[in-house]
Amino acid sequence: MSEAADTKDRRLRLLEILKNNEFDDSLEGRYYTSQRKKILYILILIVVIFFTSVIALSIGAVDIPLTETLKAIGHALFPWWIGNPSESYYSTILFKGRLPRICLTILTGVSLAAAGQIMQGILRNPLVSPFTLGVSTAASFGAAMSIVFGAAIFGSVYYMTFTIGSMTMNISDIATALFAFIFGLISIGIVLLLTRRNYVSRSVVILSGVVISYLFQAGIMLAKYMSDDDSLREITLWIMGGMWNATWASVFVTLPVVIVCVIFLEKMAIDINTLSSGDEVASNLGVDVQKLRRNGLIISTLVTSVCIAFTGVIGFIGLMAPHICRMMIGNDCRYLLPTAACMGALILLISDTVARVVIRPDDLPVGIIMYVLGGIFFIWMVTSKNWGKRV
Amino acid sequence: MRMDVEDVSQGYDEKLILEDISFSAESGELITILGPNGSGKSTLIKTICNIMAPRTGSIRIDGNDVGSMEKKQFARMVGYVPQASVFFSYTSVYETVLLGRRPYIEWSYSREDLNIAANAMIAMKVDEFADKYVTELSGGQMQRVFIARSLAQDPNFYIFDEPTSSLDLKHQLDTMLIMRDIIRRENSCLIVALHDLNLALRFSDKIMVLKDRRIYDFGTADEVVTPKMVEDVYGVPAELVSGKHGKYIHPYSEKGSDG
Repeated sequence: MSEAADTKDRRLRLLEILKNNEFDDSLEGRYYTSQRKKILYILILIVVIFFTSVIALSIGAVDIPLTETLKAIGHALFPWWIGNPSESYYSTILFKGRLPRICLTILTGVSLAAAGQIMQGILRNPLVSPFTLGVSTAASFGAAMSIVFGAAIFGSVYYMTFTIGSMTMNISDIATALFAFIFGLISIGIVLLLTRRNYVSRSVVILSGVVISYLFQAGIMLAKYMSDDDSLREITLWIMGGMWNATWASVFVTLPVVIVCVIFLEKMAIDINTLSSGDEVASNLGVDVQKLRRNGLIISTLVTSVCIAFTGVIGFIGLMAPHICRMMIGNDCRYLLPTAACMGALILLISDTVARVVIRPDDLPVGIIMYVLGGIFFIWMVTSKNWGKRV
Repeated sequence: MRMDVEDVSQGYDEKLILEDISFSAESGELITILGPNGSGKSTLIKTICNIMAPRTGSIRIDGNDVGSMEKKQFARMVGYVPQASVFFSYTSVYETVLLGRRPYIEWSYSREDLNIAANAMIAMKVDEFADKYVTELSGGQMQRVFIARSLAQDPNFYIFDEPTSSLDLKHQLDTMLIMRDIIRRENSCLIVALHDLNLALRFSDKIMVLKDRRIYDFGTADEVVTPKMVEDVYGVPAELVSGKHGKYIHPYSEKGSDG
């Protein structure tokens, strides 16, 4: 067979795999085919995210022609090879405003969806996500505390900035992230205490999430009540959730955390698979169930808190993305985790782009869009016939 | 290989479930645990599978204490199938059986792992459901999937908690026959909790009877299964009948018409 025909054959095979037509009918062959299909889904999602990002870059308060956008990116990457875009302010808009925002959106989507998927697997509960467990609210409370009382706690250090390379970082941002994480951790600690007993019904876990949310909401209200006008506005916007605070500094704080956490979670994925057969079987398969549960929840909380410290509360993405992907590729956590992460990034990216253009030149908090989307999704999920099987 | 259980006691909180449990199991043996409801069969099984650490006493495999063993190493030696499995996962049968290979791998399954899991499914006749989700199966089919998973785990000691409870007559016999074949061939050991005295009588090399937290009797099938034992342990009068294909226990009620 000639080389060209061989490539064509392989390309055809990829299509056939996507259409679920198997070649090797042995059990192993079918397994390999399904595995390849899952990897293909992930690759396709990455490509879609890339193209969506390019489109998202070029639309907004000012529309930049697609070719100019590509030219600006090309120029930044290969300045000696591709010329400047026709208007110099294009580059400013793209690199100072939109690109960091898109990066942060993708990172947030990845982290919330990955955390949601891990929490669902670890607690064997399809309704669990950082949002429904109260982690988001607790992190909000931490952030609100930092916004209102940060100056009082840290003194003048709170207002200081430092620079790494060409980026300026505010101590206040880092304090906010830290506070969000600490309080997120406290909420997950409560969940861990509640789920320590061998069998806890799904509704108890969700209810405890609701209760945790109420408790921290009381704290947020207190913080609001005690704050001045500026802080009040900041807290209110923060709780709505949006991407206004996206700067390169925030991207560079979240990026390493997201990468490291996702790698750790991916390493845990094979053990999380064993949990589907019950704690006792997992333990018999050599998995330290307690440790897995603890570490998994702590890492998912870390990755969520760090992102929402910059973006505010963005609900439901950690619930929706894993479910959509589970319907596509099944429940093997090793593949489900990256697929859900990509799906989360894509959903949030599209939502945020809509938020930016729907009432331009102003933008909406993407949190509002996610609440509406997520609420509808939640209702659909609970009423659909076999949602209970989907974890 | 040899498992020695010595002076083990076990319980939940204040409540003592097992006391003074001592016995040994060796490669090649099929040992049945009998006893009425609540006599501690499941607790004993979870204890020897190291899912619950024993309250006192020790469990050793070839002289090594299982409590201090590495979890993965232990997982290659002892495979556990629970009683009724709570299973609500969108996981396919093949993926579930593949979980049995977990103690042997770091992150991905090799061709050999896939092959072992496939053979385990074929042995338990669940290969036709390979791509189905476990939740779509009946209780009996699910139980066979779980046994297949333990076969894929390839341990030296298979420890099953009432594996035949939701199987029909044919699959009960099939399962016991397959397992007896496997332990003979691999020279491994099966410890299994059963409710069916006749199944135990027919397949066991040794039988352990639990009553009131303790071992009532432990020995060969002929020694242990007697009308007196059935009367003592279950409170049901019975007779041992010799049929054309071996002995069986026939329980009867004194008030009933068939006594």
